[in-house]
Amino acid sequence: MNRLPLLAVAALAGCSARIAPKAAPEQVAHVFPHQPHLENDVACSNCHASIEQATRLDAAERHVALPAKSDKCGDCHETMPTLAIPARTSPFELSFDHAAHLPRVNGDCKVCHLELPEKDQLHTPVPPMSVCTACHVHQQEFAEARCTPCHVDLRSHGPKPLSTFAHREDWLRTHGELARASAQSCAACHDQTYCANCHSAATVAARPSVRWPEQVTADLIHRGDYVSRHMVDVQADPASCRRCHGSPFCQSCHELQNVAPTGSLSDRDPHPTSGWATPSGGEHAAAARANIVACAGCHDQGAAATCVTCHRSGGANPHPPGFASRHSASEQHSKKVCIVCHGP
Amino acid sequence: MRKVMPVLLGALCLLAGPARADVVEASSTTMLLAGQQTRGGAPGQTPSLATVVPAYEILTLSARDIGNPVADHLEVVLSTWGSYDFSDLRWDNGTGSKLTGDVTTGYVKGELFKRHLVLQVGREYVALGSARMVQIDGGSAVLVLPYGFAVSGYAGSPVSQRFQSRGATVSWNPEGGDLAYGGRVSWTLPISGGPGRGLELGASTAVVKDGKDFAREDVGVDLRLQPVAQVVLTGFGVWSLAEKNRLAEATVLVTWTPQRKLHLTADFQQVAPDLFLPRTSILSVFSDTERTAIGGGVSYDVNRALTLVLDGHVDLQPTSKDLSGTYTGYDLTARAAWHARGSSAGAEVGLLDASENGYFSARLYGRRDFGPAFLAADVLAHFFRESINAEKQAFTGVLTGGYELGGGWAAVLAGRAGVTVFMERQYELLAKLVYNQTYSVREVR
Repeated sequence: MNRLPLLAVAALAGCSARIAPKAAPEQVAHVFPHQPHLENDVACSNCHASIEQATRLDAAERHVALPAKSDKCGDCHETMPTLAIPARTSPFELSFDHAAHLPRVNGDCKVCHLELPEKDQLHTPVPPMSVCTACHVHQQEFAEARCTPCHVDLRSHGPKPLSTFAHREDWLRTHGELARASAQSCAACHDQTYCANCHSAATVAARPSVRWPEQVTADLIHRGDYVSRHMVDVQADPASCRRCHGSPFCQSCHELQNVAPTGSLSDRDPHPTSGWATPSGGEHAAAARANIVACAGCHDQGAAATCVTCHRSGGANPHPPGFASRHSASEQHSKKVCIVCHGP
Repeated sequence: MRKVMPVLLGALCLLAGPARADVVEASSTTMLLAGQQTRGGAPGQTPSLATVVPAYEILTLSARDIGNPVADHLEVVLSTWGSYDFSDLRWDNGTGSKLTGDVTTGYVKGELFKRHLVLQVGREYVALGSARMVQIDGGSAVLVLPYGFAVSGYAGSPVSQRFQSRGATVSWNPEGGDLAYGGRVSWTLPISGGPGRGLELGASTAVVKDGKDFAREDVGVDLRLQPVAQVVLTGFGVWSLAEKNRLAEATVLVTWTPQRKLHLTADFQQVAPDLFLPRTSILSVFSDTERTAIGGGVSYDVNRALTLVLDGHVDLQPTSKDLSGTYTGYDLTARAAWHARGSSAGAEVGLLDASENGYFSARLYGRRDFGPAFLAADVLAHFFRESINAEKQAFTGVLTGGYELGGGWAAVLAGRAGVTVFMERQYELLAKLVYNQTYSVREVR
């Protein structure tokens, strides 16, 4: 089993050996002033004629061919400017069939291309998704998280999420509610390693705020010296802790700090020195009812738990009111947890 | 686990031959930490200090759009790490050995039949419905049916740390069992007018078994309603069948974005913390109390650089002073975040009031990029209502510097100093070397 990571890496090496690192997209300035040509009603097809036959976006093909001066530019240009059309350096993030769409907009590119790049501009404006959804009702695909084949690779390109999944400032608190119904949508942009950074309390190498101290703007859980305040947080919202952490996780540290019950009187005792557990009950009864999860941080050892010592059948009844109505009498002697006190 | 991992390995080995991945992302983090942790101690005595110097190698590989004759989309993800403690064992080592490691995630995912069937096998999470983000070594499937229906299911063994036993008391896993399974059925009704609008209803079940006993036996319902683009309503409820349908958790969340700059939320949550314990735990028979939180939040983008956030809840919780009392606590957070080109800064204050203690927290942070280099600072203070270890204040500061070395490589050095309730002076150092790279094969579509 311990060889698994090595074998997996070796297997994946077969994939990576044939490929080269993707070059970072270069910022190449645009060379053509579109706006004055639009204002003078110059047809887009004068220069982009071949786009009408393009069935896919191809980074290697610019679909630009400047006409000769005498052909279409002579009305305005006495001398033709010299333009060197720069090659596209980055892959397209969408798949799109211009040949199929242009007839539907009567060849009017401006229906979708609301903004065009201008000379010396580095940024390339792309049509917003709203122009797609103006015609294509994608609710079903959206609900089913089927972003492909329009979006090539959401994980690499990371568009700004739409309204439902917009990662606003309260995202840390709200994302779980959406994921319960729409985890497939999350998966369109994130693989599960991303989730694991926070959710994998049992198997992660270190908590995120330790691993990424430079990410000061991120909502990383348990930031700073969490040990100092964890016992306050577990009082405020114990269920939240139990979503990720099992009792032995707490116990493994508590034992190192001598907080856990090992039976030695020299242990550090987190409970009040008097009145905590008395023959008539004491303070521990209300404390346990209020926050049994806190008790579980040290006392969850099954039959060896200290609770069993006094609460074994015949001792003080520890069950809350109504407990008997929720459980059949036969469980007492059949379920393992009941047998601990009630016997087989 | 013994059955699942060979399947995963076999799939990986098969893919290494003829398969071709469109995109392969590789990430490597080599990290060295140095600090001190307290150990032991008795009342009135000073605890001893352990020096911990763990070194980590964290490796993540993701290959997607792998060309293959079967699936429309095939993906392999592996995130694993190893560590060595050069000095004393750190407290979260998880084993008794200086050399340890684990697999955080590792799965093969395939989408078939024009993406109407999604299959995933390996070490994975299940988030859908009442699964409660269970991490399993197993498999899951999502089947998209006509008329808006979908069915999903999962089965596997809940993950424990370092491959130690599952349901036993040494497992860090909160599930407390050795077999987890469940599923969800859902129905969506899209509403025209924009992506996302519509109704989704789901019903789910989540079961965890420890031997023959049920550690968890829950059923749940969930709802997502987006009547207009700006409003999203989600609701969720889960009941424990093992406890005669006691409500384990219920949440209602409404978000409203009346304009691009303004975002409002209102939420209600009721939980029974004891139902988050495995039913096989001896402590599951002692309590049946509930906690309720109700509140909301608002965030406002003052301009493109500045965002203000306010979030607060009233928390109704049982008091530890008597068996029937209720304590009304609260939590409140206010934050101002500023972003400009190459710079970020923020301030945050918080109040938490619980029945036995509470705290006021304050945080200041900032980061400034200097070309390929950056500097970040983060200062956090907590002032406790009641003393902890005879102290009422804790301060921590982190200063981090880094440099982009090029080719996907970066180096980071961080130092943390603190005065905490358990340590009069605390220092930690972190040095890490990071490699992040994306490899693409096909760029033409």
